[in-house]
Amino acid sequence: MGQKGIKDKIAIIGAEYTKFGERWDANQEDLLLEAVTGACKDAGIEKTAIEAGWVGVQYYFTGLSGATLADGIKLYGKPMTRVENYCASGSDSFRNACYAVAAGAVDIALASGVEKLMDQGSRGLPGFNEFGHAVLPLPSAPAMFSLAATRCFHVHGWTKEDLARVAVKNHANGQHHPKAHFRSPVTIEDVVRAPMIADPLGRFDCCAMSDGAAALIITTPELAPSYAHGDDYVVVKANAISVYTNTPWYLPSFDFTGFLSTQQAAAAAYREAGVTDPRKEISLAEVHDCFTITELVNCEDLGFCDRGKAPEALKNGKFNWDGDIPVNPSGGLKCFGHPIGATGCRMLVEVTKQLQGRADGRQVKDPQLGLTHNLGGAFTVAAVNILGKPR
Amino acid sequence: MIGIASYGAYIPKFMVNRSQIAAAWDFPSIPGTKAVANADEDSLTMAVEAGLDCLKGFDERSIDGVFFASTTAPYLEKSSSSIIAAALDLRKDIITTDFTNSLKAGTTALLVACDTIAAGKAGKILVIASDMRNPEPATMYEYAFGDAAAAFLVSGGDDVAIELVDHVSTSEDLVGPWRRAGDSFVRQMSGKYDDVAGYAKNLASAVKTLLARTKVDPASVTKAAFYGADLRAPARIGKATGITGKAVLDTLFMSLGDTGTAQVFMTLIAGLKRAKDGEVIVLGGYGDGADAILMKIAPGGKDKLKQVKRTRRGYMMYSAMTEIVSTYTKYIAFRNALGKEPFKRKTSTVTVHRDGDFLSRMHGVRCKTCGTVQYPKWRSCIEPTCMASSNMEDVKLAKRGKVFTYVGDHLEGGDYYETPIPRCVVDLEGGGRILLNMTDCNPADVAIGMDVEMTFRKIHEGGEFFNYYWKCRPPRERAGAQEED
Repeated sequence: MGQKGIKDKIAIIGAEYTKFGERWDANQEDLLLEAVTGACKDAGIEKTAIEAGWVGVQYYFTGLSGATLADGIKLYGKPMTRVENYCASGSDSFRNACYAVAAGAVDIALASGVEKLMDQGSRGLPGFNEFGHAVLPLPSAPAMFSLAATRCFHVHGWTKEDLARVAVKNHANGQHHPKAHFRSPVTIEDVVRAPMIADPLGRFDCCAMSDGAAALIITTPELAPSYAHGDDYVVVKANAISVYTNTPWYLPSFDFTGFLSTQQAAAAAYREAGVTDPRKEISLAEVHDCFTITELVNCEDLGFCDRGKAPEALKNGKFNWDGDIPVNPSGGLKCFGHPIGATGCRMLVEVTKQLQGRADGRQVKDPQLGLTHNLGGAFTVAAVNILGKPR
Repeated sequence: MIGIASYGAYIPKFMVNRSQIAAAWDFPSIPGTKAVANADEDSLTMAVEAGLDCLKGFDERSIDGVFFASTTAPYLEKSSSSIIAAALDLRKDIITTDFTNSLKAGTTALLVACDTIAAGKAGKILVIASDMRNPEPATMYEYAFGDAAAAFLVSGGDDVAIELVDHVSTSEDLVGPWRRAGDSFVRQMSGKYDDVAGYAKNLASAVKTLLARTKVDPASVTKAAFYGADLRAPARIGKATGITGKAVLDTLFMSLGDTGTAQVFMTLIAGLKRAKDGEVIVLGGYGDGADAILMKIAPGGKDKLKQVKRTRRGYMMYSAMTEIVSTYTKYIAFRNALGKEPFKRKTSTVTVHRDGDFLSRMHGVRCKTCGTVQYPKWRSCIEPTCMASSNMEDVKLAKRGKVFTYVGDHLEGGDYYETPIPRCVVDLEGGGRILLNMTDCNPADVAIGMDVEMTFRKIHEGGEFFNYYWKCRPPRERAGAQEED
């Protein structure tokens, strides 16, 4: 963190996302336009008021460059950039927008994220035979996280049932969310009995492929009161990204039971936000539950519970919608699916609305500080954002 | 003295019971099994295995050449021996060449290796014969053809255990078994003509000429390894040459099948037990002519063989560690008789060459700042507590280790015949951590802490070439299965 940091320098004045799911009706342009138009409407601005824009998209097959955004919303002649940082692409798009506003380079910036996955017709994330080294093995995404699950089972004695409770909780939350991809509750039995994807992770341990987009309009706290959410705009308390290796399986000291990138990003974000006890200070969190094992490890890496104790805390209701730290009250990636570039922005929109008391699904009671956490690659890139209310 | 200083063998893990073939086609059953290479194996990868077995206890920097003999080299243009030499981490200033297109390529390669050393052009040459002949389903060849590899280290030093005495070669233009470029399967004219006018006549005559020239009484020959396309063929050569039936060694046709160019080598390796100094040995290879080779256990050779045997898997260990395939269909899928598109990834001949040190040679680096041994060959240290740049030294990594964590990946289902694929994070003996897919295993048996060893395999065919790399497998050895002395 530099001397100045970003705390209290950014105000979110508009936030919206699309319905997530199998959006056969929409292409990537439609999704982006839907989200950005919604965010502008929420902020009470015309899109032409946007001075600079970023879009998080992971995959190359839906277009390269800032034109992905400029063409998507038909806003030409402005500085626009496509951001790729794995599953944290959306969070990084937001970070870039924040820096532009904090630097005083622009007053109104757009952070967005989108991914159109369903059209690829892939079983699991597409493209795994297209990138990476020519010969060295590259596990599928669930297989990467299964390497951690196997190790957590061995070290902590966790079980398939412990993983299943993450899916059960998130589906219980997501069933109330009108924009979620999946809106049905599941039982521990459903999860445990599902077909294997990457042993020990079964189908319900994995988030789904999905389409969606999300967008946020940001400005400075000084200008924020003059926009539509002048009374209830949300401010950024911290914004951190941490990057480690693409290939943690070559790292001799790595134990696979905690993710270095999350630990590092969380430490930086807490420091910046002045959070000393996240268990008491964080009101809710949208964390990256790409797989059930990921959420358990995230909760520990984010300091929500002690090492090895996430299943116990979860079982005791600590992470429920009405628990001490509601984790994924929206239903998370488990219910929204994971259109890669969109997810980070989707979480930020979600937490913004929670802090404004207008959450779409399960509104958490009187939240003060909300956290978003994105994790991409082989635990490679982690983003942690903390949002709160103006000083 | 010139001759054989060491031997090594490889037999694939899987066997087909001939009754499974019979049941598949409603054919009359014949007894026995045959060895079948897995879907990720070919004659080249099997040759690497036999070469690794053969070179145990020898300094790989002392090898001056690799001769690879096979009728089923994976490439028609591009040498296999150079790939094998890299996988065995041999020096680059050596001679490598492939002996192909004839079933006697193995014995011919052995002769040429001996002659090259005799000419003073090399000190040690590794000769590997390996075959994976693809039989047409529902033919007699399907019962016969088996897959295996065997190797001899030919030396001109005092480490020779089996001395070359003399050899005779003949050439015969007769269409025996053939396979045109582009043909999927070996063909052969029916009838006995090839057997009588080609095989029996050529091989017997070469052996007789050799014995006469060296004034060796056929009755004094105590080990004879003759190629045989069927079970009884070698006995006919023994009879025609005056070599006793007891001396004619089992070609392992009943257990391994006709292993092509590897057969004569494997026959001798399996028949070497209880070898005595001075024992007279005849090798006979056939294919478009014949090779007859007279060898003798060198003075002190018995003890040298005993020494070598201790660390060899050879025929005994590998044949004791096999498994019958659960279904005929599984075997057919190994040979891709179902015509599925091979697994491909985006690749580059440039990358594969530039990264050869860690892809084929399995080298890693040691960080001179923090001491961490790591893989692949990073320029800067991967440990987040160090990250020192450009302070690395090259290290050769061990090909054994223990599983640190693993996953049974089902998601690549469309790209492989069998899922889940166990992907294992392995801590190597002596340092280095690596991710390897596991092969030749039961995925349900994978566990944290289990011992694994590396095996060179065909990984994918992206770029329309063979991308080879290492996998891991449960070790193919166990106490008590060594060869007898």
